[in-house]
Amino acid sequence: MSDWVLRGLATGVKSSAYPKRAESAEGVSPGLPEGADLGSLSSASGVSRLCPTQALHASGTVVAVDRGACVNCYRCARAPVTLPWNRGYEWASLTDEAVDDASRRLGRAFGHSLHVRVVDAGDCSACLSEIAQLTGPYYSLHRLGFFITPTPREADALIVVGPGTQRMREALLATYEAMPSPKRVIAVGACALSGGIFAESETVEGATANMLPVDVIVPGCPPPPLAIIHALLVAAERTAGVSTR
Amino acid sequence: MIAARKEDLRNTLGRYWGNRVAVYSDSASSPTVVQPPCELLRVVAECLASECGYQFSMIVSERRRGAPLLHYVLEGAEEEGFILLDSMRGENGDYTRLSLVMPAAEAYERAIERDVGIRFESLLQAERAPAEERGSFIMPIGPVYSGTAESALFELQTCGENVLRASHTLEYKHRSIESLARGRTTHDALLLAERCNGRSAFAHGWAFARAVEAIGGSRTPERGEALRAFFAEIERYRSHVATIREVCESTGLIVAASQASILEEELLRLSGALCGHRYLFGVVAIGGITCDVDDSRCSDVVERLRGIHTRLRRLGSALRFDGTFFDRLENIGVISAADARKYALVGPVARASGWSRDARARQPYEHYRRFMLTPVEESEGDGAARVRVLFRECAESLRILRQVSTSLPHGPVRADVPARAGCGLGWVEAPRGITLHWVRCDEGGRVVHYQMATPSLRNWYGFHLAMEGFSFQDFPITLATLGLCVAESDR
Repeated sequence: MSDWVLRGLATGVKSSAYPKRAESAEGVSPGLPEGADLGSLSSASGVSRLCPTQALHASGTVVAVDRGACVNCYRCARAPVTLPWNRGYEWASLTDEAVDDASRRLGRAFGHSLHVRVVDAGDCSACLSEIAQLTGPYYSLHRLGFFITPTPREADALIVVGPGTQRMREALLATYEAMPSPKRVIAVGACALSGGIFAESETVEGATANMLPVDVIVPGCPPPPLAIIHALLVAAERTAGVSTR
Repeated sequence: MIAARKEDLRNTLGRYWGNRVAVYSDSASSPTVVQPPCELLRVVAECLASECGYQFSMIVSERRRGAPLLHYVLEGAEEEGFILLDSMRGENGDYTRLSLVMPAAEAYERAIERDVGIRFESLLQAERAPAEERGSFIMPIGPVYSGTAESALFELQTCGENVLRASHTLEYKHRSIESLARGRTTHDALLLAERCNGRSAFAHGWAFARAVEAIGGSRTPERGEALRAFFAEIERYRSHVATIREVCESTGLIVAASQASILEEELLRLSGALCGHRYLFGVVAIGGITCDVDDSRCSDVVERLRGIHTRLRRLGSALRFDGTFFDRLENIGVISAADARKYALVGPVARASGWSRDARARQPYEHYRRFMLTPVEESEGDGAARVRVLFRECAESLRILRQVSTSLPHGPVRADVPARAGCGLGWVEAPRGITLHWVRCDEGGRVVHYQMATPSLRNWYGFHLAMEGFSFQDFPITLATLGLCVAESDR
């Protein structure tokens, strides 16, 4: 048994310095396309037509990106004319409703620690895998006072992944109801934000916001662990999210 | 070769039934079709299974002239590829039930009865009823349970210690991927195939692309084939490490789980740095891959993987000498070789039960044709054997990666695939077992019909085999060692 203790100690500290310092390791984020002025009408409309989920909108020579719909297919990154690529991970933002409605804030008491329940509403298992990484040594969620809890009754925040399948609707709503107030809902990943690639399916509800009041959104397919940490920091009001207005 | 095989099949079947059983194929690249009259279907299936060694893989249900037509896809013994056994509606309006001779087909026939609304001629026994045992109760688990588990409902009947009956309900994550693909271009449908299971996205995308390439009759350039194998082995390695982490977590061995988690994250970063995406989304394309990786980069990756592998080996030997770990796995969740064969289990789960099925060796495709691969095999069929298979396959993957990186052909990585009407079957050995994708396209290159048989879909049969008769507390451990994915079964 003591062997494991020694092994653990010998491994040293692996945890990311984020949020104190930015993470500089390669491969921590799949990135997202950035809106840009491509300088020509044809390349703007050409690039926007490549998108399978209509996340790119061309108006004139400018291409705007709807981050919540991007499914990381990289078509716009590997086209002849490409969009600039955001290699960061601080992508989470408060929804307009959460900003406007002060009664939905968790308050200072929750600033240091949040317990989170995760619900899989039809995810492809990539988002869940990224959440599972959070509790590993590299991201070590606990150092920031965040804990993933198996029971909704002690959860302060609900993370929803997946496009919201109809058959999970009841279980999802029951989980939300079982949580004590005040509570926050964090929609993680393109599927939970817009239905993603499954938006047109007859058996999914699409965005989590169609079923629950969502407070924090984080785009990506899947959002990397650091983006999910950013979302938790935004939910706990320890940092400001990306402005959407 | 396909022609010779077709001739063999025609001779064997002709010996018994003359020309009453039609054996043909639509084109040189499409699979051989065996079409017996309804009354002969069951005996022909029995003959194919016992004399020719064919094994059930999946049922494709299409409509032809209004009536559903069932293709039973059968996998041949050594390098014989796949054949289709067609089943049509009999004169009395019913279909022949083949699960009486091929038990693995049962769940598919049940699903077809429910979803397509056709009737089979004979009735099955009722679904396995709860055991009659005084004082027993059914413990429901799910669909929302545990920390980051996928949504599924398990019902374990128990008297308090041993599990008498175990059943699972997978219906909570249904996104109807297959019907969503209908009417889309093959390039757009590929994105759906990748996302049926994000943790083995590359393998599923590859199998889908192979189905479309079979229709178009094109060949991927050699460098594209080699790099596909390269990415697929990275994915297999990462997926196996993730399963090892889950097993360590389920036994409560936190330090070991953390060590595996470190390796998993490093593998994800390696993939991210190599092609942009941590789960290899958007890498595979119809006709090849989207991003070329230069030779020196591949050697670097293999070098880094060797470092990771040294640590994985160290973890493996530490686990082996830790009595508490293997004690929790040995003689638990045993699946016998006979059961693995009966239910046609696939992947590491089947290989741990001595039922050696590895499409890379049995039905070699693309780059795997170039080297001999001996499937890893264990015979005990318990949790410990499944974990040993994972460790050994990681070593095997590294060996393949090293071999690919030292002999990368030059040239393009992608070829154009002409849009053609027709149907094709693509298969790839995904990390958890063989995945089969059946695609039918129209002239414009749009998907008309799409169906998949994923490894987890088939290995869920193993769940009740591994649970029943064993201790209730072993549920999370057994589930982890089976490495089942809900997303790709309940798609």
